[in-house]
Amino acid sequence: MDEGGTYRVLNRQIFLLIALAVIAIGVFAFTRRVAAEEQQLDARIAAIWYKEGERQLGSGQIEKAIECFRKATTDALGDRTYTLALANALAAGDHDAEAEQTLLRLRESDPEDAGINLQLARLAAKRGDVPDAVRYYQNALYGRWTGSQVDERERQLRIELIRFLLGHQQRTMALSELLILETELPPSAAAHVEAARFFLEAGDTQHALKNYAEAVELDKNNVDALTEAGEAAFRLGDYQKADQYLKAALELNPAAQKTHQLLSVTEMVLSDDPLDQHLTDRERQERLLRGFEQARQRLESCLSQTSDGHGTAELVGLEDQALGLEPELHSKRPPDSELIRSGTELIYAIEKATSAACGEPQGLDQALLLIGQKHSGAQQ
Amino acid sequence: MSTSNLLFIKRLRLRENHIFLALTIIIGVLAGLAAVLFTLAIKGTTYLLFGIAPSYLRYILVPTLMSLVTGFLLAKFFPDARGSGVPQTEAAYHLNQGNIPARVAFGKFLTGALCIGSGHSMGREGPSVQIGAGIGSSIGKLFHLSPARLQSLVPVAAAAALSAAFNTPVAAVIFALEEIIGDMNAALLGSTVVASVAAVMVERSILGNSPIFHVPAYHLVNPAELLAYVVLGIAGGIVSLAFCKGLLRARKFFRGMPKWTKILQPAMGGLIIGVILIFFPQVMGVGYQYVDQAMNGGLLLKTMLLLCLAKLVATIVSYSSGNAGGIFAPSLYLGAMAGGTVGVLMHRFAPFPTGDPGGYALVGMGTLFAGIIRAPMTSVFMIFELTQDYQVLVPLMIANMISFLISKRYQPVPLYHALLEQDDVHMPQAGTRQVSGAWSARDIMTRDFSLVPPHSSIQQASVIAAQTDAQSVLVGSNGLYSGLVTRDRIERALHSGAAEAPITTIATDNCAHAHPDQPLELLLDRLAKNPGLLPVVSRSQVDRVEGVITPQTLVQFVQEKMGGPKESGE
Repeated sequence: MDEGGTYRVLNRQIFLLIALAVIAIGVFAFTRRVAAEEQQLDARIAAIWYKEGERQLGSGQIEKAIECFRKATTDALGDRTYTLALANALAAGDHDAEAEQTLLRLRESDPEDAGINLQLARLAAKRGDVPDAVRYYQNALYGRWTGSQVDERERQLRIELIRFLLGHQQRTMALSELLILETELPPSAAAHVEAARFFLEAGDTQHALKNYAEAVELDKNNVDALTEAGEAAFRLGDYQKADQYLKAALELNPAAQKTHQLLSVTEMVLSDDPLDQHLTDRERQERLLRGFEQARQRLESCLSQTSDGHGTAELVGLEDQALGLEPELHSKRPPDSELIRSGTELIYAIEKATSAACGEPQGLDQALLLIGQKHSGAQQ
Repeated sequence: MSTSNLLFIKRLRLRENHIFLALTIIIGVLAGLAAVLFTLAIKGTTYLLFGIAPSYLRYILVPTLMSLVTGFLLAKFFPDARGSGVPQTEAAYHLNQGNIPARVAFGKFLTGALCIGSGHSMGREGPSVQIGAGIGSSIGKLFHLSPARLQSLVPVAAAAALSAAFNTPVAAVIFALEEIIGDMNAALLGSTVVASVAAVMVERSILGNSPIFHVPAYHLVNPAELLAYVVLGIAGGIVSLAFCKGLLRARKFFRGMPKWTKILQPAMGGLIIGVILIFFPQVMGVGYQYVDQAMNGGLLLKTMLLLCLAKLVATIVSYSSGNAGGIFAPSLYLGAMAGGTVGVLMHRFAPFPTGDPGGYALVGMGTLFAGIIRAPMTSVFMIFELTQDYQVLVPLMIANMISFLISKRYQPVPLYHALLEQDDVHMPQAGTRQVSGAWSARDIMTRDFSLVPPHSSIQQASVIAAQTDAQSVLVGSNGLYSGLVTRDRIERALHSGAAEAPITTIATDNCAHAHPDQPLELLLDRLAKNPGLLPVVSRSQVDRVEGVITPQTLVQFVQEKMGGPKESGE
């Protein structure tokens, strides 16, 4: 072939290339259109399956709902709503492994989505994986929230996390979350009571009492808040406050037997403490003698029950001490501060020992034990 | 040669290269578009035929009736469009210089979409490869490319089509080199990569970036867990073997049925598939959504085991009954189910901690692919491309290697080649492939040979045999041979008084043969097995004799070439 002929062939090839390129563009446009139409069809079918899935889920048919959501996600690949619905249904149907994989896929594309992190947290919580659950809960808490009532939903989520932590004996972590929760509480007695109960469970009675007090402030007729505030104050040894709260609670609910009992003990603690300030010598002596007599009776009763039992020697020793102190206490001269202190200590020692040997004390014995605890704590 | 002529040739070559590069890109785009359209066509057909929630009756009727249509089309118009498309593409590349008629590509598109869309348990990747290669070949012919260039377009277009069909461009390139060309060092790497990238860009711009599978994060939790992958490799090898053997036997059974049933065979398969679909609708079509579920812990142990068995049977039935569709996707499906099953069992019973069963389903996909398709490198790259995680490589290679070795030990001929052999097409094996520049049967054979017609008597055969120097003669007619008979045997038959008996009574049809591309060393070996005559037959039609080699022709050839080995292009 000569030079001109060769060029003609090449030019023909270039022409063909251009023609093919044009055809390729045309086929591309056609294919794109077909794909778009098919995707629209897919989307319509997916919506049908999604609705059916919702219906099945509403009627408690979780497995059928899963199948429907699965079809919806197959027809509308990557649709977050359908995939999240599938993940939730899978979790509800105890298909935890697949639910987790589905959620992790969703999380990959949006790691800050609060809803996805929350579901992952619940799955981790379900399998008892504390570190993962805490991580996902916190991701959810500090993630991106959509929809309405975000603050309330966030608060509920924190409460869920606190419940989980308390359920897994993670008190320190729970307390951290509780302190945050405390700052986010709405002005509602119920919310403060709930927080106070969590504080109690986490072992922080002080904060519990504070929240009960706020609840009472917000709703003076809240019996639960008053009762539990009284109990918290009682537990903290703040018997004055306990007395106030419990009395207020009983005014609203006089039939509360337990509150009556607690108030009775509280009143005894307040009325029978020989070390109380602003008492006359006589009053102080009377309280000391009343307590001493009660403790001796308790000791004798306990000794008769535990003649050969554990701690008998200690009880006998205490009886000897009581016998030694008795004459001085009964003398007519007012007791000096040293005698009052040693008398109170002996009463506490007897109540403590009898409590260990013969069971929890009741009534005045309980009050004497609490008085002793109060002063021994103060000394320490 | 003058300087201006040299300059002209240089510019010409440069321009040719540019045109070939542009052609590669355009073929990549068009093959990719064809693969995407094929995927859409399958999906559309499925919706059209089955609707949203098909009834049992529909499950039975759709594949049966649609297979009647495709059976007719395949028998009357597109006989080359049956089956996967990968072996046919390989055959076109190796035996037919890359020539694939446009009609085949069109037929594959039409029948493939109808077969897979009507519920047959087959894959879209194999047909996409053949459709893409057909487009490449047709465009090459339009450009009047040289045979070598035309041949090179086949793997280029095949890689592009696979890249768009499976969304793994690197694995598609490796597949083209490993499976279609059969040479990982092929010079076509650059063109294949270009076409593959062009195709995947087209695919993603149309269908989006969503991956085919939602691959779970892979974790090897304990070094001892590698032992579990040994178990997976063994299980994968067994399932691969069961699939290959089952498919070949079932296909042999269908091929052994009377010829008039050929048009009805796809419908027979369709009926069986319909029954299977009633119980296991999950095996319908490609079924990647269930592979996804297996990988993500969405299927129970029993379900995965049953789906593995159901898919195995369904794919064997669909393929062997002569429908159009591939085994690429079914092998991945089987792998995911088998892997998931092993994963769950290991998780429950292994004495060491193991990862999620989903990881086993993932590795299982590669394992079955290596065992069935026998393309271990493609398998490794494919799974790696899906996971993009180095951690998966060692377990994957262990399981793949074991599965591959088990499959190879008990099924020495790879499945694609075995399927071609059933069609009387013999593919060159790596060990027997012609080395460039070496002497081959084509150079040595003589085309001067006679065939003894099968209806001849032994007496007539002896006359024909006497006219040749060879110790044997071939029996056959019209260039097709049916057997071979030695002169000694003819002599003995004549002495025993059987002169008028037909020659076929003493001919043997079990004789060695060679193909034109096979090298001299192999010919000597084969000639030693045959009594003095080695027929050289076509690869694409093994009973068509292209020439014969006798000891005399060998000696004559060597004498002619005493000057030294043949030079390239001679």
